[in-house]
Amino acid sequence: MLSFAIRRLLTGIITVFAVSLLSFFVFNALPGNPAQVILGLDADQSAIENLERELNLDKPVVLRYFFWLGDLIKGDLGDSTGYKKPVTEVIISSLPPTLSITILSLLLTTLISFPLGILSAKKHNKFMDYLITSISQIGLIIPGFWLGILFLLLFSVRFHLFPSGGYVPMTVNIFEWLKSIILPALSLAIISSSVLIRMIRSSIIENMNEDYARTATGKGVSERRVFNKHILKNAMIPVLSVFGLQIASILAGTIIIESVFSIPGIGRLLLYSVQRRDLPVVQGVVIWMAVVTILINFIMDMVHMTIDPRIR
Amino acid sequence: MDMNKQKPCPEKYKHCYGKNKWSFTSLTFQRSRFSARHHASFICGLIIILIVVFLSILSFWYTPYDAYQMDIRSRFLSPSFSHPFGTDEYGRDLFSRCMVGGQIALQVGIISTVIALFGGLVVGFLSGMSNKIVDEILMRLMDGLFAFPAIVFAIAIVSVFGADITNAMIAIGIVRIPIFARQVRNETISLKHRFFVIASQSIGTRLPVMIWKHFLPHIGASLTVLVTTNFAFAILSEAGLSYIGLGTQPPFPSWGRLLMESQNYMDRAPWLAIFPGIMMALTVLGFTLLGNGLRDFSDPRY
Repeated sequence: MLSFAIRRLLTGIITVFAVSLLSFFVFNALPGNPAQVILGLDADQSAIENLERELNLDKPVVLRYFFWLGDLIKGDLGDSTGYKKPVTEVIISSLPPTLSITILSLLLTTLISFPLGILSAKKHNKFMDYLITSISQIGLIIPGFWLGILFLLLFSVRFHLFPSGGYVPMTVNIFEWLKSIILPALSLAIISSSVLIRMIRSSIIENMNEDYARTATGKGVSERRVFNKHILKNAMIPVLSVFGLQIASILAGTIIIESVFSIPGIGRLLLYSVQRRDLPVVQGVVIWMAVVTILINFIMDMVHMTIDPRIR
Repeated sequence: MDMNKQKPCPEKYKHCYGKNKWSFTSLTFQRSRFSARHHASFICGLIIILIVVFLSILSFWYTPYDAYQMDIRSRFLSPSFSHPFGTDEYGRDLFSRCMVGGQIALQVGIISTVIALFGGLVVGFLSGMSNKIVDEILMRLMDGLFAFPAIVFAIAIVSVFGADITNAMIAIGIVRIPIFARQVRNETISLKHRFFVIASQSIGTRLPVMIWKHFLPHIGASLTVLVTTNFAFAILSEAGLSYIGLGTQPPFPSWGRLLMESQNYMDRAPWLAIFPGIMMALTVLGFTLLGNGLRDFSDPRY
């Protein structure tokens, strides 16, 4: 078990390394001299050379990568050119709205997908099953942001139930906070639930047909007990890794959904930074997102390991 | 005795005799051509895709109204018989604009899928055919690439190289390379040890011929499934990018961009926010259904 964990940790670290290599490549592939860009076109040659030395631009590219990687490991992502603050600080200050949406969305996803998925599997090939699976098909074909727009049309333009955008911090008014993030969270949750409902349903149905379920029923275990204690437990193992992927996709989904509801989170930060060509911030957010994704997958594998004795 | 004399083809296999140079066009597809007629989801998907493709191609020569010509007198007309999807803030016909948007969606689908497919084939074959070290390095790089959420990687590319549709298409294509590469690699490795490949190797078949004659036909069936689902993915991603202003640039009306522009007039003209989304959802539905059908055909259990 420990050797699996260590092996998994190693591949995780190597993947982070690959991520850093790819990011460095993308963000340093731009032709032109960054020192020239920072100082402007009419800067004199000696100033440019000084800055080049300061930014290690006179060193070969491989060396520059390792300098950059060293800073990255220390958590130093450089300074934002727009905010004149360290990138880490800028990112942390935009985190609360994004995290609020992600967590609420995950909560809603769990509340929607598990009951519906289980219900759908229990009523396999009956009307309820067809209804749930066909509704979940809709969630697979529309993007989360369009669902957000439709929610806005319905709930804030037509019925004036929710604000049409903006974010109220939790510390100011907890009720308004919930109101400001419920629609974006719900739109992302519906999309993720569609994937999960299908996964949960097919996994349970597959396990229902397994020999062990039949044996347990044959032994005289009550049907409810077989379902809750045996089938459900086994069926959740593959669902777990899909759940991990959904956490990552909700996090990525916040980027666009924040634009729909004009919420000042990571997504807005990323967008503003792209528009103002504040590349250190863009790079910081991109690396942050990738590392969080890897971390989520790692945690999910660890959880997987503890509940599935076959891996140990 | 004449060694070259072939045994006569058994009656049972007459229909595929001489055709099985590509297993994916002969044997696998023979079966699928037979059952395709009975596969409802495949047929529905195909019909939807054909309609969208027809409308998009038609829009090169003909749209009911000019998609770019402003006509202030007919602004914000709600959907009617003469303007089925209504008109926008400059009086342009939304249906015509959605037709042109289809062009962009298909273009994005085709180009990014070609990039993902070719990238995936190259990396996958390299990884599958070479030794363990090269395989390991390539696959870890692919893991790294796969760790970026697609939209985030696309934003990174666009932020460095500038916001336009070409960069967006390339970015979406690159993000999907790992998915194709993994599939190609896994199948290559499992094929590598099959007898017909070893036999072919022993008579000195060169690698390109080997890949073309033996590997591609076997991998083809599962790749077609990936290709169709990739279309759906690419269209959704481009819409997302265009919605935040980093994909298609004005005046071109991609579906994502139309949705972005609609948001300023939500109270006056809700149809602007509804119809482009429906077009997009339908197209994605078409590709998803098509993919489901193809997956069933390529599955030997079907």
